[in-house]
Amino acid sequence: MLSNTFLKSLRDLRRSIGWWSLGLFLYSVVIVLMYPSFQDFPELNEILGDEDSIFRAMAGNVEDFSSPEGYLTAETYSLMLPMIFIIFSLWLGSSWLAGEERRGALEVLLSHPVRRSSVLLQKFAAIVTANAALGVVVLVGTLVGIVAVDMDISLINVIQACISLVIFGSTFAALAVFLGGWTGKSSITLGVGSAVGILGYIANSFAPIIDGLSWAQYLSPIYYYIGGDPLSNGLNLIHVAVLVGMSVVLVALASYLFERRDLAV
Amino acid sequence: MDSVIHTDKITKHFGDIGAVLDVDLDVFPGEIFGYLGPNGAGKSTTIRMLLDQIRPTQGSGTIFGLDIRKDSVEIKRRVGYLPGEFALYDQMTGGDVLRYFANLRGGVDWTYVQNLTSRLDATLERKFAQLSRGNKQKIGLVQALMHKPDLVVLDEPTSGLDPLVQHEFYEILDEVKAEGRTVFFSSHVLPEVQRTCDRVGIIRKGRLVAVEDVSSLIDRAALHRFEIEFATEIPRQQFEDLDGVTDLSLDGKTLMLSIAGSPDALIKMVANHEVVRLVTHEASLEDIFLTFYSSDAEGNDAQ
Repeated sequence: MLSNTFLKSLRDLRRSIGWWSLGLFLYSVVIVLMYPSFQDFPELNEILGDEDSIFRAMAGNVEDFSSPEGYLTAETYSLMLPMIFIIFSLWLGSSWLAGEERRGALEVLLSHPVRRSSVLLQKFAAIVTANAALGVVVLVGTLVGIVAVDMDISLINVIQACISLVIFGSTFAALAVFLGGWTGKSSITLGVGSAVGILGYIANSFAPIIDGLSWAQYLSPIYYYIGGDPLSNGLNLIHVAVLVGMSVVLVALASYLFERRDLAV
Repeated sequence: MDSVIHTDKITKHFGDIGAVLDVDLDVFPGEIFGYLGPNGAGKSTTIRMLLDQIRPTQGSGTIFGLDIRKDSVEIKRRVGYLPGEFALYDQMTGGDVLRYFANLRGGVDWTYVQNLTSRLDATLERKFAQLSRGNKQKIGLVQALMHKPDLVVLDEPTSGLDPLVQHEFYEILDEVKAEGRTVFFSSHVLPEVQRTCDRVGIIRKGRLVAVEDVSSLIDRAALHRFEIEFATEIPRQQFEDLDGVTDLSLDGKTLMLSIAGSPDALIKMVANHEVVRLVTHEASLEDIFLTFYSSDAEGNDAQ
């Protein structure tokens, strides 16, 4: 596990990833277990109002809140899970690049015969791998819940929603790596990264119900994660391509900028 | 002879501040070269440019004839480096850190690692977060030496080490030299440089003000500074005329001067007057800089 920066980074995670997984697993199971009590409450749809309602926007703009797909999207896949994945990716991205640079660890690492861009790519790959591990945990937790309450939902679509979640988290890993590789500052990585997440949520949820602003939804990474309603429709390949494309551009820029600048003292 | 390290007017500005200015440096194979200067003179900045951590504003450099920018990865294969502040991963043990770095170099002879570890009295089992500054520094030294690099670059290597370990470290440097390998290290401690180095470069406010053999530096270090308070006014001229006196000033009844070589003539002259107080100390590095390189004192401030 110490043979390269990719494996060493994953090794650094070996303790904390267990706690993240435990929390996410329990959360994913419990959310599904609560479904039957919502299912018997179809009036929720009326309370949430029509499709221009702010309440519906806050609940992930789902059509039918009492359906399994609508319930899961509104309760967790549209807000809580992407938020957790954003936090996870920004945390790792900032501590593994800007954080290590500030502490001086990167200076020692880069005095060895390794390219800066290679170190950056390996760290990014490790965050993507960790995202994938958490995605599997969410999937397993959701499936356990589905079996327990006998929820009527396409398992293939649940898998695809989790894949979408991992791709989404990886896009924020790319953003974190870009900000860290460019500026070397944790504060900027965390601050700008969070701002993109929050603005992305607002743009995706509320822009569609504001006249003349609905286009802003298409600027939001969250839209390309959940806007195609993967729990009902499976993956939207165009949306996947947008997220992957953004990640590729961000990581390529990160490598380029990181190679060119001075390391922080 | 081909230089191991060669720089050509290498310069680094941080914003408006010139940290390193037009430094021309040549370090030859098999020598221990001391890079000497007060804190903030530009030592670390120079070293970090050599290691491609920061990039020169102007000028260029080579190590083993390879370009420090373009061929940096190739250079680092053959260089061991200890930064001024050796900070690493808190949750890793010293041993794991060394194994990781050894792997990045494609493996090292682990018996040599163990040899260095025991000689420097380093601890491999403890996590980094639990190590004192000196014990971190020891891991850093093993890290810089374990692959037997052709060039060892050390930034203030002995800070935080106790005297016994320092002594062992000097022995190791002598072995490196005996094997024909090259050492470049920075210091602001004069006795350390006298003990270990063949040649020194002296940097002050970003400029390389002198490069000389360590023996001539020792002559300069034989400089003593006196501060003598007399009971009565004394004639300044008598003291100015003594051999080897520099940097003389007379403030009321207090005389301050530096003298190179034997102070015998000075003592005899002083004995002619009533002395209230006499203080003397060996010249510090800073004194040597001030005395011999005062003409270089102006110019840009280093950071």
